[in-house]
Amino acid sequence: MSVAATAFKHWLSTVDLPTGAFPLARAIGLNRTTVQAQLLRGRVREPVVVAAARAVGVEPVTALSTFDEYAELGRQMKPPLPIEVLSQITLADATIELLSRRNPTYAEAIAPVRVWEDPPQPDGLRAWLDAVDPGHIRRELAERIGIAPPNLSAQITANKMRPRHLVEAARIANTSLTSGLAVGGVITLAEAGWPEGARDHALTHLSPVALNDLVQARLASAQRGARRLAADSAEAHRIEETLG
Amino acid sequence: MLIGYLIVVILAALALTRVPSAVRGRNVLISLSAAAIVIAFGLITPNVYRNLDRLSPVPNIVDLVAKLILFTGLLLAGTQVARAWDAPDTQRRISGRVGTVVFLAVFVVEVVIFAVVHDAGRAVDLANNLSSPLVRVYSTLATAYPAYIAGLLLPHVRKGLSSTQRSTGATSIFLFVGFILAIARFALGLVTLFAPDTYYVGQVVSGVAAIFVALGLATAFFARVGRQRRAQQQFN
Repeated sequence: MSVAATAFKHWLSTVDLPTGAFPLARAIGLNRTTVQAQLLRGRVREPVVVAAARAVGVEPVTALSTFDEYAELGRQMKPPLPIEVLSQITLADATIELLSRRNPTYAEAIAPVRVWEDPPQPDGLRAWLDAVDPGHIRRELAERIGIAPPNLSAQITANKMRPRHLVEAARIANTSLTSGLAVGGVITLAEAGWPEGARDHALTHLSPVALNDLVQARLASAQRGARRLAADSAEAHRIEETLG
Repeated sequence: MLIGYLIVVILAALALTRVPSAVRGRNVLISLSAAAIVIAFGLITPNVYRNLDRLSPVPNIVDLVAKLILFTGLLLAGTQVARAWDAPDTQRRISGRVGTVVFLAVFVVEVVIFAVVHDAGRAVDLANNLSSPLVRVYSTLATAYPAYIAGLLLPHVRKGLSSTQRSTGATSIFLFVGFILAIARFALGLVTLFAPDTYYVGQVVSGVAAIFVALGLATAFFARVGRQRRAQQQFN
């Protein structure tokens, strides 16, 4: 769900941003056509609100919370659960930690080029949902947002869910409402209230067994992705050869 | 009238891209199906239809021939799409025993109805006489076969929409829209049984559906050509 264009324009006037599509697009650094189309349609998508908030130095969560659709967002922003933090650790990060524990020189060698990337990460949504799942999150989420479970699965596989659905998933999981938005890449981890270095801290405090499990899980996920890519590639080849 | 010609020109342009490959014996069935669909739509353009039908001894026989050619084109295209998506069951339902029975049943019923109502004025789809319920059944039944093929292929093509490969996604989306329109055309045909005025909207939907299917097949063609060129460049 997006926010109402009229409410968005009202908010723009409170933060001294232009309400016209073209000057606004220039001020917030987004495509003019995108902004104009959304204003004309009467609904403005969340990334536009976030971009506008960042442009004027307002916290995106604060900006989103001013709209009815996200009124609870700011109030229910909490620090992330440790399991959520772990869900956003990539295969590369986990592997580097594993190697570093085997031989500290690896850590020294890689330190200058190591970057903790913000989400969205490959298969990051699935990892987060699995981490915060109280046991029925997919079924309940599909019911609440009114879509068929296979369609929800397809969205999770594609690593793309609507911001409103991400908030709803967080609500079902009883975690910070901003976590889903961060995992989905709508806002950054810092904007979602995740402490600086949360992932590094979580990773370095993992037991050897838990670290091995994490690497194994990420490797399995990467293997799923690689298999899917190979299957899709073979299918594309077959389609092109038969119909082309 | 102009839309009819436009549809034929677009379909012909897409079919012509196939000629060089077909001459080399590559995917002849798809090329034949493209040619058949172009011929079928070409035959029902007003001037061609009028001139050919004037020469024929049986009034409106050109319409029946166009339908036979169209069904054959769809049979070939449907078979190849099912093969492309590795769907042997669907392929059997299109060109196996079941498929052949459906094809013949629809066409034989069309011939029987045609025999009864064919001399009610010379017009594509006997559309001059839509006030006759039997003519409306004749017209609607002709949309049932494309809808049958589209309905069988739709679930497979739908899966392709979420492919990580751009060419599969693009091919799938064009075919998906084309098949949805083919089914919508049949639904409109059913409406025509009770509201003859909707017939002309249905004819435009048929043409647009054909264009989308042709675009889907053309996308697969250009994707293959592009891949081969890239492979050649790498090799050189």
